[in-house]
Amino acid sequence: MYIHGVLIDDTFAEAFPMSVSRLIVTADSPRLALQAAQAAAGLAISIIGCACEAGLDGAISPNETPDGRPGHGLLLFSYSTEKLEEHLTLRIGQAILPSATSACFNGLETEKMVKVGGRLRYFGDGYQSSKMLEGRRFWRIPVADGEFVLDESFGIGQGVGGGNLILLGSDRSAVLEAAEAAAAAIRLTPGAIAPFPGGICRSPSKPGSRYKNVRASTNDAFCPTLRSRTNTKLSPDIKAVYEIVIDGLSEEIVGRAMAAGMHAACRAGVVQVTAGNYGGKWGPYHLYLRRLLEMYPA
Amino acid sequence: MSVQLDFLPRSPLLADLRNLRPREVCALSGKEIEALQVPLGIGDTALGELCRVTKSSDGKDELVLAGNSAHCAYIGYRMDGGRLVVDGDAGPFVGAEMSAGSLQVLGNAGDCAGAAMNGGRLWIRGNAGDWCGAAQPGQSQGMTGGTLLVDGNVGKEAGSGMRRGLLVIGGDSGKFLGAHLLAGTIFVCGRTDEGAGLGMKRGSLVIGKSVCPLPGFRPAGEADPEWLRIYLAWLGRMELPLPHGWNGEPPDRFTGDHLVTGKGELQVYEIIE
Repeated sequence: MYIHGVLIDDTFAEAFPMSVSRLIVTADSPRLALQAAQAAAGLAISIIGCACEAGLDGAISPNETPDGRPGHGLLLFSYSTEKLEEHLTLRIGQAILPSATSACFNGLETEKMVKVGGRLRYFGDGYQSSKMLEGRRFWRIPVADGEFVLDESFGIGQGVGGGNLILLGSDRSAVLEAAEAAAAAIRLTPGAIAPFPGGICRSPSKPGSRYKNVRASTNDAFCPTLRSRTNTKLSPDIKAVYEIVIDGLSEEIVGRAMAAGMHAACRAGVVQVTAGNYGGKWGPYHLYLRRLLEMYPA
Repeated sequence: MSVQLDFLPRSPLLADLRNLRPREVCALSGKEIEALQVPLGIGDTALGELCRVTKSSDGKDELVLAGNSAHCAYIGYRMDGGRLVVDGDAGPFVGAEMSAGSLQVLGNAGDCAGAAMNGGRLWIRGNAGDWCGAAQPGQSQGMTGGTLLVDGNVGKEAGSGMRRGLLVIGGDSGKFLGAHLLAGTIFVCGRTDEGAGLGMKRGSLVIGKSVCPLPGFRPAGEADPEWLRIYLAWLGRMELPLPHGWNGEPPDRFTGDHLVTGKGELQVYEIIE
């Protein structure tokens, strides 16, 4: 299958269940809300080293936020409920709480709720207070520009992580442009994130290494400089490869985001679009590239 | 299945409806409903003697009281679910100790509306009497949860002894609003008489216009509007008309009652003489 002259590999991305939370970060202006959300998403790039993957989930208008102020969605993923709970507390407490005029609310109603505000309230040193509105408890923590208000509990649901696209190109700047366009299209899919810097990963990894303490290492089959020394997957005309990793609230959302990314990426300079998998043995979600393009046409 | 009880203008005595719970009544046949015994005066009487019973399968699944419902006390007492609508006025103790469900009074309510309620939503579209959301007579603890909305005015000691929950008064309130408040939130969109927050330990009173607070309250500058925004946004979604200016400048904040703990707060948009 070719789209605009780009070969779509007959393969699939192998994705995994992940614990997910969605935050609604609000502030006095959209800029401040974005700033706080970005801070909370810092260094949450790959689960391999960060234990958490995070990304922005679109701006939220004042009439959709609990406090009627402009807001920004933020999605956080981790491999377990316990780890995600730890990251929620850490990131809200260290990044959102200090951000000027900010507030933080739960954006995912699920059965499993974990207490985050209920822990961070102790920062109030006894001056904290709570408000209960129709069964939902908010904590008010006094800070130097007023009060930091946050939900007592945040939902943790089951999302899907590890959706991916690998773009192979004959020209580095062209394939990078295509990857940026794909990442932009993925960002427009509600409920999906591409957690790497700018949404793009230049260092696809393989599990394991020749060194015993290294859990993941460079995927030599995709490194252009190693084509003469390894079992390469690159044809001679390939000069650069970029990977886009996609996490989402559901398999359908990840599939939609992958399709949007592929449509955006199929342009001059890109030779092939493929995806990473482990032969289907590890992840229960198999997202076939060609099937996704048929399901979600441009 | 919905049930409508049209109360006849027959008895000047208060009928005590504390045993009528919407979900249970809706599950009964018309004959069974008419045979239910309710306290009236010093004895009991069959409900069929006091009202006309109509059952309809409109899919709403609610109990409607209409007609001479102002002579009914304890409507929705200890209600634990379902929907109850009073298409008219309600007597005293409407929604007292209710824990869940939705109770709506389209007219006025008597004294002790929502007394000691601990869950659910009671919405009075007219005025309510004294001790709205307060404690039951002889008790010390007022509302411990739930939401009580009154579109109009309330009498004295609304929300006194309240422990948790939300009381919103669209009009004015009488004396000693939120006296001995332990926690919870009270909004008065109009004005309050003197004595608001007397002896309150924690919790919040948000008032449109108030006379000068009691001596146990200390000025604490302008209120931080953050939590207030959450409530105002919610009230807006409930289509409750908020006073002009409430979404603008933050109110003045006082902490108190410092004769007790000083952990409560009084937020006033306008101090009047």
